Amino acid sequence: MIRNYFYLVLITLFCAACEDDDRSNDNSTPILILNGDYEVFIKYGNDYIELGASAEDDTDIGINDKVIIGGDVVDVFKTGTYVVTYDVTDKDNNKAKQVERIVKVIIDRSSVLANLTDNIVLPSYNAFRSALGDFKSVANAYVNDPSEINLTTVKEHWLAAYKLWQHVEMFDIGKAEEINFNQRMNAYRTNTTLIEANIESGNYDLSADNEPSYLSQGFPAMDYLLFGLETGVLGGASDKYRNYLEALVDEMISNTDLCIADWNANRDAFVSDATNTATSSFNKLTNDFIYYYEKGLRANKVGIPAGYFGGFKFPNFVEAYYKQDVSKVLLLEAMTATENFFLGKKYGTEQTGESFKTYLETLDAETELPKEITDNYEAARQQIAKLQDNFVIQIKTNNLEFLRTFDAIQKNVPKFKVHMLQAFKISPDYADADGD
Amino acid sequence: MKLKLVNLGVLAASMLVMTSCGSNDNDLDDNDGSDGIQLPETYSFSVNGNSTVSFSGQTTRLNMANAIYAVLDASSDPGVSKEELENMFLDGAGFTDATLNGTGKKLGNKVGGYQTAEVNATVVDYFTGILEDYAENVAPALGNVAADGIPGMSGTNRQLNAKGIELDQAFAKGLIGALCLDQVANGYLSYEKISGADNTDRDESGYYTDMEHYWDEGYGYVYGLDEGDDILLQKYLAKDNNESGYEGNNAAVMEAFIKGRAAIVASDATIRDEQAAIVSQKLSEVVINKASYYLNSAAGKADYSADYFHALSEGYGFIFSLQFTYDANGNPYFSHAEVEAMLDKLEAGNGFWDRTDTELEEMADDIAAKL
Repeated sequence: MIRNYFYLVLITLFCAACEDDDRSNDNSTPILILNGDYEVFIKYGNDYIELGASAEDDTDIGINDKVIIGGDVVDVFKTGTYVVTYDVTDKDNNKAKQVERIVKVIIDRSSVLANLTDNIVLPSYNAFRSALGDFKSVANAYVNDPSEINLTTVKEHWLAAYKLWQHVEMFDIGKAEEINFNQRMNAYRTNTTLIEANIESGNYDLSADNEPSYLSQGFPAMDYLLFGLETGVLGGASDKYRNYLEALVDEMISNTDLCIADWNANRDAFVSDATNTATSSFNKLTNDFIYYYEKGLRANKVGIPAGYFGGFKFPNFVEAYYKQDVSKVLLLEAMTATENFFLGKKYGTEQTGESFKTYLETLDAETELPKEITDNYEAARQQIAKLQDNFVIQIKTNNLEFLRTFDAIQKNVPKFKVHMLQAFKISPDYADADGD
Repeated sequence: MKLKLVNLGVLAASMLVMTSCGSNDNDLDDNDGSDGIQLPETYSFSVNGNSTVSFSGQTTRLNMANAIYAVLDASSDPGVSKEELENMFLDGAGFTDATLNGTGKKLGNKVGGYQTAEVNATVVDYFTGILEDYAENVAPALGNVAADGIPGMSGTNRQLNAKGIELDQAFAKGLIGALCLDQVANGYLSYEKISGADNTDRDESGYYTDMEHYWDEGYGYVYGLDEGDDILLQKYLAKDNNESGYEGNNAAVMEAFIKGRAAIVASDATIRDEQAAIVSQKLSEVVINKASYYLNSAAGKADYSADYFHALSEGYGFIFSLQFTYDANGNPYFSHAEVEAMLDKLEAGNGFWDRTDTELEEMADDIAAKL
């Protein structure tokens, strides 16, 4: 280093010498030469590395340090063409001819958002809404004629709608988040005391924004009415139970309509928002998806009933506790829904579009992540296949297989939450609830 | 005057000038480099005068472990039921020290918390099994002298179950792995946990980020109590510190915790993960070393002496803890199945009453071979 310092001093001396001699003589213009390519393509979200430009001047030895980078600021999270400019002026005020670089940020999150929104979110909502409409008509028929055959039809439509709900619950965004849609639709620990009190008094407000309200409505409350009451109560002389069933479906429809209207109204803004902040469309959709997979699917459907969180088993907290033998069907449906969303599979078809998967592949052509994720889905499905349809019996007779199911589903949590988010350069917007 | 390049030395020097003062923006990140981390003397970090360090939940759990240990270590029947003990362990309720009740903190939902659900269930069973055995078999027998197949007291204060296991030791040494090491190495400091945490937003109090807090929680499971009060991992880290081959390990772990935390402040993931690896490695070595040490120690004690049962019980708990160790690849040094097999060997027949010194020494050697 001492040697280098010596030369530094030497250079300084040279420069000082130059300045003295040549101050009035240097009329030559410095020359700028671009480092790297004139046209650069950046994959959306990848880093743009500024290579700069080199300056040459016959007298100004330090001119390289004077290069000024200007023009557009490259935003790697926004597709488009950016012009970066380079200027330099030597110590004698001779200005070099400006050079520029064209930087193109290619592919954007909007194409992913557009496919997910137009081909999955909206069609899923619409299919679900349609199923609720069907449920309402058969429920009406049952209210008018509480026959066994009508009840059977109502039950079938409840399950059909509940399955479609599995495709909607992960979109906890916008209006859904605002009105606690998921809590209203599917808080498993339904409170039968509250429900009975509501039915008895006939005086209740299902739109109330509090937990007792959530725990007395939605699919779990219907589950109780349809499968948890003593035989004959629902179809009995008093119509108050049947009226409550109707009130429940009306509330579900009205909340669903709010969410659909919200998506339709904000679709364009949502899809065109290609920024990368905590509140950006893509970030929220991704985080909500992962949150749903970890909490709504993995923990609620399996982990909590299995007793994974704290040593106590809660078989009474399985989804569809009163019907019981459909918990597995609903779990499988949710697995399919989340995998289809990951793959960008257009609702109701086998056709795929831009998705988390294709986006991962665009960012890194060699990525193994999509295959690992789909392999994990397959393994989890095989494990779920070993379970009984009735999770209450499964937990009571062989919880080990149920715990193994949790483990199989868990395998994709770090894939999504760590590896996929890091590839997307998205910060997680929720922390694990460790209780500290 | 035209500048002439004097020699290559000048060229090199002038390049040095250009690179050092050179192109603007990127240099702002230079303090991410390995030498740019500012290290405080102690584990203390603050923002605008407010400490960002918080691990009270860990301190509470370590105190809970102490409280349950004290019950299991009583020299006469404390008259405690299985339900009362499980209540403390699983529900964080019913402690004599009222400050431990109603905190929302529990031991039961943290032991083996980063294992698969399948293994987790066996870990919880290990501890609840100890509590049940103690309340129903050992505590009522404390007036008797322990014998082959019969619970009771050995010496003045070694409370043995029918297999000769001193349950307070199996409990505490088991927690060293299942609680402390698992939470630190497989949990908070693991790449999957820490790298996924947000490190930009400060929490509602405005003090710490999620990532800082995760690191602190890991720290708390080791250093959450004063050294003199701790009976779990910190105690044995400090003990090892005085042994040949492990000198300075306590300070090294502390330093790695400090440096990793500082790296998080500096948003330097590389240094953070290097320090995490040091912590997990050294803490794992404590467990491996102690498992082996206590087996040898037991082999060296007089047959059926209180000291023999005590040492072997400590070894038993440390062996249980081996499944939570964390090697350079993030795998345990001993799998769950290997640990189960070792524990089964120790419990075979009438358990500790049936073990030979050779058996214990062989097992000790097998364990130490991993170091």
